Amino acid sequence: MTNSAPVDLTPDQLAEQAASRWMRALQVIDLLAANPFGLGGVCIRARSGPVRDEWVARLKSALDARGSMRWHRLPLATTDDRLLGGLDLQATLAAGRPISEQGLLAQANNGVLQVAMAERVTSSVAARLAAAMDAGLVRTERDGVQRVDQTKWLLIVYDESLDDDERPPAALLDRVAFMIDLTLVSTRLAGVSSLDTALNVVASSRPSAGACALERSVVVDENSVTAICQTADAMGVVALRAQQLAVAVSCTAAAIAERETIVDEDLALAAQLVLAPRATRVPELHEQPAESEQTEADSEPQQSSEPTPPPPQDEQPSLNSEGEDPNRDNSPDAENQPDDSAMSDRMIESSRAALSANLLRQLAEQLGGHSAATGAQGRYGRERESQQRGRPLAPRRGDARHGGRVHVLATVRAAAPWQPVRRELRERRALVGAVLSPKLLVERDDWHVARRAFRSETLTVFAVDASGSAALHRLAEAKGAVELLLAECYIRRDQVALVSFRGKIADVLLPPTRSLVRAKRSLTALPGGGGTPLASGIDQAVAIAEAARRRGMTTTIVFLTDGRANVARDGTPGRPQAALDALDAAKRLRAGGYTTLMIDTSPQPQDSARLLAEAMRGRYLGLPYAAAPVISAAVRAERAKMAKNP
Amino acid sequence: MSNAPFPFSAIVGQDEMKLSLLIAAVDPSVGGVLVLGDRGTGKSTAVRALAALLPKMRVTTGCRYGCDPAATGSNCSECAALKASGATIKSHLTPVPVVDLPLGATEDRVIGALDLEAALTSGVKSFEPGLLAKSHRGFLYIDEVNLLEDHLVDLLIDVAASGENVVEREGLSVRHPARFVLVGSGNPEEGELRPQLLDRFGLSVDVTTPKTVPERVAVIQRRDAYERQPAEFAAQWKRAEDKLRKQLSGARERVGSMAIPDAVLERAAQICIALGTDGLRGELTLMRAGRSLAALESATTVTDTHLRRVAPMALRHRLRRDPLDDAGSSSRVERVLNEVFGDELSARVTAVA
Repeated sequence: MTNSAPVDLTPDQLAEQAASRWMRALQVIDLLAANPFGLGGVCIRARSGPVRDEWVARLKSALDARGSMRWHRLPLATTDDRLLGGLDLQATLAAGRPISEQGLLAQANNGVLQVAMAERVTSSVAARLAAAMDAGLVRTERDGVQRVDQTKWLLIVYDESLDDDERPPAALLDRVAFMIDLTLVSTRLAGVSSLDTALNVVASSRPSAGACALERSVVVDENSVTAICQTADAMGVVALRAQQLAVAVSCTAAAIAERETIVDEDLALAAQLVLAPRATRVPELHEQPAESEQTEADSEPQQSSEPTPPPPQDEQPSLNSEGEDPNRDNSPDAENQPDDSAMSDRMIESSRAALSANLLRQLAEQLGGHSAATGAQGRYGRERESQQRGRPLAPRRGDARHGGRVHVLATVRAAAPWQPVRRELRERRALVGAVLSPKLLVERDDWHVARRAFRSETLTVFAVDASGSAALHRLAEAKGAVELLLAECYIRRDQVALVSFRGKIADVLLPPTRSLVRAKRSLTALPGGGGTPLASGIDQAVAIAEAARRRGMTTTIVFLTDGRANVARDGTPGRPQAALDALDAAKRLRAGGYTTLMIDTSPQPQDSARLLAEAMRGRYLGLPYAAAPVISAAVRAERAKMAKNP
Repeated sequence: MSNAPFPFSAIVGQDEMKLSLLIAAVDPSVGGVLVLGDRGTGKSTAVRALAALLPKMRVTTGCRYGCDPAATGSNCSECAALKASGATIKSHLTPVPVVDLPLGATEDRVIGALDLEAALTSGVKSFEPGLLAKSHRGFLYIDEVNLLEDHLVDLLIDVAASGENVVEREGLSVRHPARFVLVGSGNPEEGELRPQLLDRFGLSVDVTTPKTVPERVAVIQRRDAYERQPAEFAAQWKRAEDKLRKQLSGARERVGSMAIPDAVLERAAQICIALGTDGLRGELTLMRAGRSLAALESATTVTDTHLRRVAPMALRHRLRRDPLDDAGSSSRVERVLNEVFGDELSARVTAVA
């Protein structure tokens, strides 16, 4: 879900949505309390506040009802030695033999592990958590000790992100069954205690401790699994773990109701709580399932304009060609099948009710962009790496001769266990009383140097003049140059952003991304013609550069324009005002101190562009008839210079 | 994992991944497998399952590096000395090691370091072998290989290529054999691998979540059955596993004597030139993988069909990057293969697959 507060809903609808979210959040508590370790955990999207606290308190009391559990918190900047454990130096020195200690991941065994501000957790920490969850073990191979600890926990991921640009690591979201959103829920709503008695659908009372034991005996039949998978398919949920978790949730729901079989109700609940928050498209219900001409045509439900209903299972002609289940089609219980399809239908209905109201809007955007997947990847990569910038890494063995900095603590730590041995050797070798022994014997192998993950992320913002004058002259060539530059950026894994200005305003065609495909596509689709709102173009480029700088990126701005502004900031035509505004914008850019390159695209070198470049304190390139590779080489040279003296 | 691992033959779909692992198991000189793909597609399950599938190997009793008593010239210094002295070498059978390199492992545990325990308790400087020594003659598995720190990756690649681990530290100088098949898995969304690193893996496969509902149902059901009763589930698949194990050990014997006709060699070179892969590594891998596949299928010689089938996994990660080509590297390989082999054979191969 993108924005947690949909803008186009009436207050009544909002209140209704909030109430249903809170209700589902309470259902999650029941399920987690019944099966704390089998469902992965939960991701709560909410800011820190009373509503979240209330929910957590309720979860805690529900869990305590079946035996008290320890709660642990994963600090944001946890290092590997705390997370995974390693050599316990103090105990080792005291005991005179190596003693290892558990890390947080192992200590949290049989407890609750809370990850606060999860949207800022790095993917390497997430990967360690994920590995421990998958194996049920923490493997530590550190500082000369190795240990393996059993571990299982209930993971609570606190997602405090504001928008979709920052989400908790996908590796964690993939492994928790539930994703609940409390952003809309008011304190009043959360405080009303009668709600949970009124709305507890699954459990009439708090689940007994026996429910968990019963869960193992719940029979997972093929129909239920098929129903879950079909629903997931209809909602565009591809992750297999989500479907597995949905099956587990329906088992738990059945166990809470003290049933040994999964019924529709359980499946519906699982679909609503597990699958619906991950839905990427709105499932379509088939209204007339027996319509004959539909059977062959609509095997591909992904067509953008009118999503066709997923074909009901008994109509799918290609089923047995997969060879997975040969006895399915000629099995005697063929009457089972319509029933099965009806179950799927029912589930789709209930999860549709849970889908957020603005999903459609998001979908429309996604379909327009055509590459939701690549986009998400680009965003993800950036977020991860910008967080790592300047982050201290574990110190590494090595000496400081190559410009590194000695990490004193790590060096002393490395030396500490060897002190008795070294002292003894030294005493044996040295003449008695010849040298006074120093307090600490440090040898060359002990030296550790500090390291930082200094991945200088760079962003290149292209501001392309697509006005009539530029289009006349060389928009095509400018496009070619940008394409070449894009290829360069791609090789260096730089991010690119694309701004175009024409007519009255400047548009961000492409926010910073690594996706070359997207960049290329938006460039190809760039039309030409209209006035030259140069000031807006500069402003827009600076805005992007500023945002990037806040994320720790180094930014280069490349303008491709003839510099002849004729539309002012406020969109009114008129050369004098437009030129003044453009100069003003250029000065603002200079104040930001960005590396700037002005590529003059006019047929003859113009003073206007040169003056602008001076105002920006940027480099001016008058390249009247340069071929695209020349421009590209110019940018490369500029960057190289920048790299030398940043 | 304490229980019996998930049976290899019970993994639904993912044929290319399974095939690549089997090929690497038949002939370790193929040089490692890289599995890239979506979350939850059974990447690590497959590697762990492979461990259980491999026939046991004979090791010299008392050797800390697990040397092969039959091998000559490639054993550790102790075993070599033992052999030279003419003494009878005792040996026993052990399972092929599949060593997990956990995230956050430190360098000293990977390559080996001074034995802390011995130093502290008895004041002796002795070498404690690390994970590289443990994985000698077996598999070294790195989950999330793209999250591993660069210096560790460099080190691993270096040892994997040379087959020997050299430790020079803290006044110790140790070298011991470490020949293992490097298996890496990762999710490309978490970060890219350096091209130099990509090239070092012999085979590379992409895995995706099963597309069809029946396949997904099968995955979830088998997983569920396994989690509830691992032993029963393993028993159910025992026959399939035994058959595969037999096939594998047969292939290992056959692979050495497998003939590669000149025409096929030429074809391999043709493919590599058409694709513009750098260096000879692509060709070598292509031939070795083709030979392993032929051995797995009890063929007498390597044919074009074998080559055609292994070519995508042997070459897709070796292409020079063309950032402006929208098509993925897999489809580029396909395109070239179709050109080289003609569409008739390609169609036949796809039908088989």
